[in-house]
Amino acid sequence: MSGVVTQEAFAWSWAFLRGLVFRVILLLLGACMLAGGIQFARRDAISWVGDWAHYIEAQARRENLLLVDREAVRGMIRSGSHLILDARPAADYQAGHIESALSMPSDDPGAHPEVLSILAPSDALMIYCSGYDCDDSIVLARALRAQDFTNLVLYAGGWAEWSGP
Amino acid sequence: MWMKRTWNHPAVVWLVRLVLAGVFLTAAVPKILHPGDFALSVFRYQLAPYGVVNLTAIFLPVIELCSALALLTIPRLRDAALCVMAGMLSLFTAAMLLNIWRGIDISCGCFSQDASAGPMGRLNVARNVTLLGFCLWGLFQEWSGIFACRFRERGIEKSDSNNERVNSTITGERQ
Repeated sequence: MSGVVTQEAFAWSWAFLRGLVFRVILLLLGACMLAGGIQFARRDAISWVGDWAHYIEAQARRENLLLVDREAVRGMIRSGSHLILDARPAADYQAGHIESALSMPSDDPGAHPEVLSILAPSDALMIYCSGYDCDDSIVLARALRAQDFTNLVLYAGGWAEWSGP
Repeated sequence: MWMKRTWNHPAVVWLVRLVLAGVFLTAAVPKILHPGDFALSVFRYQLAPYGVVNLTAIFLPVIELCSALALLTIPRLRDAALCVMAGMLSLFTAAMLLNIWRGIDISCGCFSQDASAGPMGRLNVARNVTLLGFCLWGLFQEWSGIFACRFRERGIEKSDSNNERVNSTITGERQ
């Protein structure tokens, strides 16, 4: 008797679950069709797949920022031609950073007034952040541009590339 | 008893639905209007593969919008809408917690796509967990009626079969 009841309860629960999954799929399908319709209809539509792997480089070019690679950064450190700014959060900087780099988090460039006080607008600055996945270096470069710093270069590979093999 | 009646009151149920739908509509509209900015917010989370960033920015806001509208206007899809909302909230909360843990200071991107908005923190997580609680409570309200009906039916069937058994016993005894 209890076996029959359990079987019946299981069958009912299974039917209920199937109904729920069907309704969820129906809702998601409707939403996806609407999203597709909006995407086709709008004039300012973004592409289906964006080139985010090269987003930082594209932004740097748009901002007329010079991009440098790891070898160039090594040269800058050897020659001391550029001041190096780390645009990542302070905790990341403390966990590890490029040698001789100064911390200037992009979300609060004024957090280290001692760093700002030693900088002059004519100084050559090299900015980096975590790597190709972050745009903190671009954000900081924009903030520094607004304060009349013009000699800026960007290391898009950032800490990930520098600390990697 | 009073508490139970208050929590099950249709006005409270509708209030929770309105709050959930309002939050999701408020979140969806700016994302639909500015998909490029929302794609940048998704990119800043550093979680989605590059190929999925734009697809997320195209589909996710419309799913938010449709869930909110279904919750308010289509009674048969209410539990599905709540399930989808709960799923999205769980995903957003997990992404937030992961980025807070990784120390990535980015704005939430939930309602405003402004990069200069303050970095997300525990308050954002608490808000999401509260909304998730609302969703689960809403689902409980949706399903408790169905399950109650089912169990009432089972109860009636059970009492009927008990009566039959009692009757047959009595008849058997008489025979």
